[in-house]
Amino acid sequence: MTETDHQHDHLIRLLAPIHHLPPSAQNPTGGAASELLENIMRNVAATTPTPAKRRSWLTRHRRLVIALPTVAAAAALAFGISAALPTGSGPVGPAPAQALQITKDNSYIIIKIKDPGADPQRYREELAKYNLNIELTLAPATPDQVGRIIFSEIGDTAGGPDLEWIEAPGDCTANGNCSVGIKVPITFKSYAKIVIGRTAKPGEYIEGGGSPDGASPQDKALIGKSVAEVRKILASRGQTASYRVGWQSLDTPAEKVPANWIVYDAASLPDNVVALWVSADGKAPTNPNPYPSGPRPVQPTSTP
Amino acid sequence: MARAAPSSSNGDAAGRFERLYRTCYHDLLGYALRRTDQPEAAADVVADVFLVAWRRINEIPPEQARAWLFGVARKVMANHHRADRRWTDLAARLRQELSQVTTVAPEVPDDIRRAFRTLAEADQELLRLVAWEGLTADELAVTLECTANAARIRLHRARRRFAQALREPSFNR
Repeated sequence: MTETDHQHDHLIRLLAPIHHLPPSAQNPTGGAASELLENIMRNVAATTPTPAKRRSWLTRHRRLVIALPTVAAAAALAFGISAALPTGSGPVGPAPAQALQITKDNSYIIIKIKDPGADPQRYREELAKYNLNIELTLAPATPDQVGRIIFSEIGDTAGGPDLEWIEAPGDCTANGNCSVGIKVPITFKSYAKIVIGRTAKPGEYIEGGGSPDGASPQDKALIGKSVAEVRKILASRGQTASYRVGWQSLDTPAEKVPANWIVYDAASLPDNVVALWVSADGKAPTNPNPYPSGPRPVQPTSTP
Repeated sequence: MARAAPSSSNGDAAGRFERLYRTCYHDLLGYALRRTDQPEAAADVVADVFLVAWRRINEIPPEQARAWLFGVARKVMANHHRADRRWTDLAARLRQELSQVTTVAPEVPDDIRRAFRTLAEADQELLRLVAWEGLTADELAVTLECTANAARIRLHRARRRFAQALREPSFNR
């Protein structure tokens, strides 16, 4: 590029109009940007990998309980999932005929776990009869989580019918898990992966640790510290960090996480890895668009 | 398994897209604002570009994502004035906030402005991509979907034509 080219580029730059934007509009993590991002990701029923909504009761329970769509009280049935069967021991009474209790009404297929000790293959077979692309698997859990849904991943529903949880407010675990079943709209088109707790065998790893709210004291000690401090602590323990950023807890590479950010939650994973939820202000980010669809009230604009 | 695992491809795509979005949002917004008559219209350009990017997330060249996005933006803007264009509500809030934008028209000698306007639209956009958005010739190639060599040649010719236009006195008053 010649000197003349430089000069001409400078002239061309002079031709550019200058815009003064309110900071809220131009901030890539601001409300306007975040809302657009959320709308785009929800709006597109991608044929390539779909965005999955993940909810886990193992940590961060309070935020997640609030985020769940709950069934109206009138429709919620206060029944419990049969949670007493330990894995590996013989049935106490006659073996249950079905692993799941599946009932159907006009709009929903209602799934209740009857036998969390059953082979997940049986779940798949039963669900397959209803043409549902729902995968149910079991994972070792603390006793109060046996028979409970401890993890769910739902594919992009593109704003269409979503799974609903059956909540029994009187039948909750210590960490706020009140789910006792799932209601699947018969029009549900997406896929879902549901993990249900089962009794852990001796020596089995329980994800989230053994304490009722799922975080070990060591993990909790990291909360409130800066990423820089935590990196040193983990290094001294021979552990590595895996970062989660944003209200969607997106896995983020270490080099993208500033050292002065703050850890607001932590949980141990297998292989000496610790998951760290981090944010700039040390607070858990909230979903900027919690309403699934419909018109939103117009926000008052701020003056620049 | 019972955790938001980093290894699933679903999480990777969403994570990659969000990172791309946060990184390039500001530049795409600036690109659109500099080329639309009304600031609010930039909101739809940004929305349309990132919609395409999300659908095609696995096709985006990782090292040249920004240049790739400008390529999409060019096509979006070309369709911008079509009557049958579908308007979406995805960027409603951004559009509303952009109504607060104040635009300052540049103070440039008329000769320069006119000289630039005599160029073909393709030349103008080429020069704007370099001067306004700071693209290198290699990045231009990604944006224009041509080879780096072709991009360099087109840039060279556009510059020559602009230099020529600057030399010629303008008789259009």
